[in-house]
Amino acid sequence: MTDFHEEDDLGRDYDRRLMGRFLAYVRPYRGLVVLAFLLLAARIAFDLAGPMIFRKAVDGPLVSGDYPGLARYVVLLGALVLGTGVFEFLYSWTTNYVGQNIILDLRMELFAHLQRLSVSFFDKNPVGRLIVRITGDVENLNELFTSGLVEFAADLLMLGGAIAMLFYTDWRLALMTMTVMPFIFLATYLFRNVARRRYREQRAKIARLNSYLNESVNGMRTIQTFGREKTCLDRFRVRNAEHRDASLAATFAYSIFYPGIECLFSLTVAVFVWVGGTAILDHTLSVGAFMAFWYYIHKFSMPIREIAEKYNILQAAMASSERVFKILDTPPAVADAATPAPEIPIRGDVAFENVSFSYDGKTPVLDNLSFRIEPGKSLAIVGLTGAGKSTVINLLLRFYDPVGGAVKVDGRDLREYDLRSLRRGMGLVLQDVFLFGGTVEENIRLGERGINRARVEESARAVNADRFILRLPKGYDTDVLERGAALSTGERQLLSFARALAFDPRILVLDEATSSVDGQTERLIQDGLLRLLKGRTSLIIAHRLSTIQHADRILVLHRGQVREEGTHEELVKQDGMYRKLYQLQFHPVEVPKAVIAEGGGVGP
Amino acid sequence: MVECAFFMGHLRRLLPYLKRYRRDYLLGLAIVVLATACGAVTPPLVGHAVDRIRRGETKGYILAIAGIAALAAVLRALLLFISRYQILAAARRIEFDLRNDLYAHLETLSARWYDTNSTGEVTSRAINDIEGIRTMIGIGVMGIVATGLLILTSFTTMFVLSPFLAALFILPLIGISIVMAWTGKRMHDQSADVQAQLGILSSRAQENFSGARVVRAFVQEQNEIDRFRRECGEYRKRNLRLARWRTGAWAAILILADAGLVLTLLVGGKAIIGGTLTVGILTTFAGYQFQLLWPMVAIGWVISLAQRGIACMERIGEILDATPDSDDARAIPAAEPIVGRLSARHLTFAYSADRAPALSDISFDVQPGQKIAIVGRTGAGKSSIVQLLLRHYKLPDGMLFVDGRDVNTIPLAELRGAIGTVPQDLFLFSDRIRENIAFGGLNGVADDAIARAAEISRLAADLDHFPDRLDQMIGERGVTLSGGQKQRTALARAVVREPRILVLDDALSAVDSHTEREIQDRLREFMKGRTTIVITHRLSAITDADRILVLEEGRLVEQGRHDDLVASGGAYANLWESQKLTEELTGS
Repeated sequence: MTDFHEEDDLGRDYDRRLMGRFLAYVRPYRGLVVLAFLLLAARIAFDLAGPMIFRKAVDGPLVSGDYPGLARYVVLLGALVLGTGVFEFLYSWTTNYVGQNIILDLRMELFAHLQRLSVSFFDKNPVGRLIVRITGDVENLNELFTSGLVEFAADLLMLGGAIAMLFYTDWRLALMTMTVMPFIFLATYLFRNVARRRYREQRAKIARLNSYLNESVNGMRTIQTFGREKTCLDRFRVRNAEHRDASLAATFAYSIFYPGIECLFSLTVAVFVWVGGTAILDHTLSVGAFMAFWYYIHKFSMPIREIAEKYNILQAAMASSERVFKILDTPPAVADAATPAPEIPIRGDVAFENVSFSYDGKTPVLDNLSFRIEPGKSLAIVGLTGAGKSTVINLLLRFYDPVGGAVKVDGRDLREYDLRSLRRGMGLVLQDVFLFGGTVEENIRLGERGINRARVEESARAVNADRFILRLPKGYDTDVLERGAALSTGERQLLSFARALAFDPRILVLDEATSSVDGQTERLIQDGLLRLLKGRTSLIIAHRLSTIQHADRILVLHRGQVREEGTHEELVKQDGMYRKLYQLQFHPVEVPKAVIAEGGGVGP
Repeated sequence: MVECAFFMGHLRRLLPYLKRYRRDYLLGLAIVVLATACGAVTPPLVGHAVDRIRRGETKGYILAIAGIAALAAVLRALLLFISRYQILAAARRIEFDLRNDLYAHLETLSARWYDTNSTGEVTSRAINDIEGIRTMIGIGVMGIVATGLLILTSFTTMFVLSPFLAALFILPLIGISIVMAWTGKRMHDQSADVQAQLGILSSRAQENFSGARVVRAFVQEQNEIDRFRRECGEYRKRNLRLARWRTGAWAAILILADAGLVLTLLVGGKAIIGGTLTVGILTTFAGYQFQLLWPMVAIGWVISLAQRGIACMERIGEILDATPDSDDARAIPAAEPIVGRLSARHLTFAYSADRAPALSDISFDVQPGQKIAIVGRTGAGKSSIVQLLLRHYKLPDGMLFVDGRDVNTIPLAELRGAIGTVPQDLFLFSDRIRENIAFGGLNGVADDAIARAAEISRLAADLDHFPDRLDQMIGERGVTLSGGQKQRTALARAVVREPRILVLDDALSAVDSHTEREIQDRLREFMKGRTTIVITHRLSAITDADRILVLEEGRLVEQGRHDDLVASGGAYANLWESQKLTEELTGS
């Protein structure tokens, strides 16, 4: 199976721009960052002073046989070593502190932004991928700060310092040893390009492998039911092998690079032995300086290795930041009005005026649809699959905006409302009831502090949900499992009624809420539903005609247009589509096929 | 020690894989030894040079020494490259093998296991934990051997040169070990805390994203943000606690590693002044000090890799240790293909011991070619019968038979090969519609078979709405299809299988009655001679069934034909009457 959307390849060089944008998140902590750099500078100064002391000791007291002098240098060296460690700790901790705060800020900004994005965004982006954005990618972004900014600076500082000390110790020797440097830079540069490509390939392959695996695990029962284990294993094996081969290519590059760099450094040492040794013979270099020099070569080799290593981390961080920023740059498809109308209680007068809509811009789903529901009245929408019933809900709750026409509440276009206050006036009961992790009570009142336990229980009682809730092990405090695995479909629907009632909406929207429940539960639900609907404007969608017989009016929707409208009694008397739908439900044998073909049409 | 044996128990699982690539490992490790020897040669060489220089050696001699050092460097790089690639590539191959084996094992595990293990968890283990294992047996093995050898050879040389100074060298090393032992366990626990909190963050986010509609409809955005912020705050707290220990340990190791240099200067310097040590040997010691600084620090890193790898192996072991509820251990293949006669004898089943039985004492018989319907309330046990027939759950012997054979003795492939199912909770793959339908086929599926299946399931007309028709991609879990389209695709998938037994488990609930009738008509033709099991809430769809089973709370309360059941005035008749009553009340 091929992936639906390949992970975007972000191979372009946006690095600088991304870094600039990222710096905005560092700015609030600039004081601490400055402190971290000061601590870092102190740490490096202490570190680099060590070999100097060593040199002075070797050339001084060791030659002159001065024991107290030696002791002084030993104490000094010990103090420097200790200081290096202490500054390292302070600097690292400060960096970590800032990094964690940046993560928190960024993650919250991303999460808050996702809360503003419309439902259409979540329809288009698989949840699994969004979770990676908010967990792994944000985590990687921290690397942009620690590895990218701070440690990179640390390495550069160390490198510069070590080179300066080399020159300070003996500039001619330093120049000679530096002849190897261009090769090191060249090797690193070449490697960087190869590594970046290989690394990207490998990440792309692991993403593919991951999504295949994820799907397999989700669909394992289907795979087993159809006995397709072998096929799926073969497909997995192919993706796994792709990943292995990409990884091997990367491993090969790294296997050349690291020993190669090390070799160049060892060659530096060899050059140094020759040049330095000769200098000692010529009495232009002391033995102490020789030793200090050797130490500095090691000091400056470390940051170069580190820089190459960090390049990878940085690459991943850059790719992550691009993906995170992409979400942050996505504007909500449904935005709040620039100057929302003043907040006044909604009466519940709903009107669709010549509404047209299409999800993809091509296939019309609603076509010039108009209807009105007066405050406190109920309207039931029926129709074949794909008639556009669910879309009506999406538009009424402003999950989407219409392409043409207007949806109005109390005579005002939805787009003029403040989105939140508009939705506060509405209640939604979906066919597929969504339960959150937590207790039954929490699932009824959600995060709303204004709804107390008494209100929760009262709502549950009113819609017949209390019976099953009280039978649960801990009643209202029972944990519903993820997606409510422990509750039956009917129970979940009753729960969602209680939820809707607890929020006391003026307008109630019900989507096929009774489509998959047995008769007994359905009676409980019917009864609960009647109480829920009482006094509210309601829009109900159901395949089961029995659930909508209490509706004040019925609208037969066909291909995004109103086909028939009226009360149940009126509609069954007409020889129209409603009557046929109705007859199909209850007189399956008596309806001649010809009638169906003529009136019903072919949906959706 | 007990802990050690426990770890070994899990690591033992890796042995067959390591054995498979033992040539790569042995060769790689042998070369590492050579490479290390080349690396250890530099400090004594330089020290030797210093002493000779002080005695006024010629420049030619120094050039020779520098030449040897250069040669050793090049040789070492070459050897390192070979060994590195040998070992790391072998680890990559083991990763590949292990992941395939894990996947194959996952395919054998039964529904009960998947009921208790979340997808995210399983996926994360198969990807991240296997990566952890690969790191351990790749760079970890490489690192521990190279570092260990380097330390060993360095010490040996140092002992030869000056046993006393060498003994002093061990002090910092002991210090480092103590620091690592002291902080290691703590950091391990704390990083587990951090991971656990990240897991909580991730499930919070998952819930929020999956419930996007509800969150918006009930205006819970701000409350969700507040909740998420609390979890993020806790995450930061745990991370900082870990960072405190980690940076502390790191600083301590840094100090201890450099302390060797201080000791060398103190003791070595005294010895030189006293005339018992040459400056050259001091240089050699200092050289080792420079060279060992990184490996000593790296030991900590390698140990953490190993710790992580063992923990990963443990988690993978948990999956590999899980046993399937159903396998072919007692399978007896039959000469004849399955015809489709079903019988249940006192069928009793509970999903777990502490739950009420989902089915109790159910007996029925279905002849090949018959259509049987199962009706009853949600939770009455209708789907359980299907799940058991497919052997997704384990069932005692002597309860369920196909063609007179106990299902437990029928090879899984044979049993499931004869059954085509449209499950209630159906699953489509993010692939072309064509592939999704062909998924049901036993072997290669011809295009016209797919077209015919799409026709029977009334999917063909919908295809006109898709630009790519059968090649239309459908999103993750079929998100781009409507509920009815999903069900009809799943029906086509079952039909293309040409099954002896077709199971429709509430298969057309999202399809409107009109389309359902059309599908019923087409299916009637297709199902001639095949056994059909229909589970439905819509009684109108099953009036023509050869037998209707009425379940109530897991018990079979009635069975018979529609007319007989209606005439007998039992539970089914009540159900039917209540549907008719509603119609009469409102229809007039």
